Amino acid sequence: MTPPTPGPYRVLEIIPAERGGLCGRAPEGHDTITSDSGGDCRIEILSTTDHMRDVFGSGHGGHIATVPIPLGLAARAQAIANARLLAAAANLLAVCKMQREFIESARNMDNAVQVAVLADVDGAIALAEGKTP
Amino acid sequence: MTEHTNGPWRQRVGPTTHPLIEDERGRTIAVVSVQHDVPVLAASTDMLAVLKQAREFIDLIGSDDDAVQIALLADVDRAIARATGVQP
Repeated sequence: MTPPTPGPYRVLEIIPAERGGLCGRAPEGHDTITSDSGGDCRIEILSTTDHMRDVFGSGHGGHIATVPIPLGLAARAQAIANARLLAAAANLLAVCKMQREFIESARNMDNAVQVAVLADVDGAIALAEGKTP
Repeated sequence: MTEHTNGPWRQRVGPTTHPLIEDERGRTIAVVSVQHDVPVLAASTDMLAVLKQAREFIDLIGSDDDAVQIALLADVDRAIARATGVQP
């Protein structure tokens, strides 16, 4: 199975010019950029730090996913939270693997709890890697 | 701070131009560019939940090497903060 695109990923909010978009930084901390080509507000998950090259498609870095932003402030806030979580996915997987190694090597603990936690960590890692635990 | 849409998130079953990640109610979370990125993205909510659970466990247990434990917990906390925007 092909491994996922290496992280880190980051969040870039695309705001159409007709909606008053501005390049800069959103209050939530991610970058924003204006699009002159219209379309809906959306959030792009990108695999590079150079957002200008991403947007204009030089092939430097890559596009991971698009998170649509529904109308409404609450819906926008949740879309941003979803995008933030998606952008952390590669990092979450790496840290899950570190946790697994640590828990497996730890001693002097309740074995039943250790086994249960390891099973949950293994399940999440397998899911993220597209494998059956 | 607003939380993410509740998991589990899963890939939509069926042919589409690009794979979709949806929540349990069938609402689109994201449109993914390439298939090989779908599993890790769709598993985000599962990984975050397990990371928090395992963090509690690691925090409780003793370690032969406290420096390793402290460093790991710091990495876990950074990952949770990055994923949620909130310090654990």
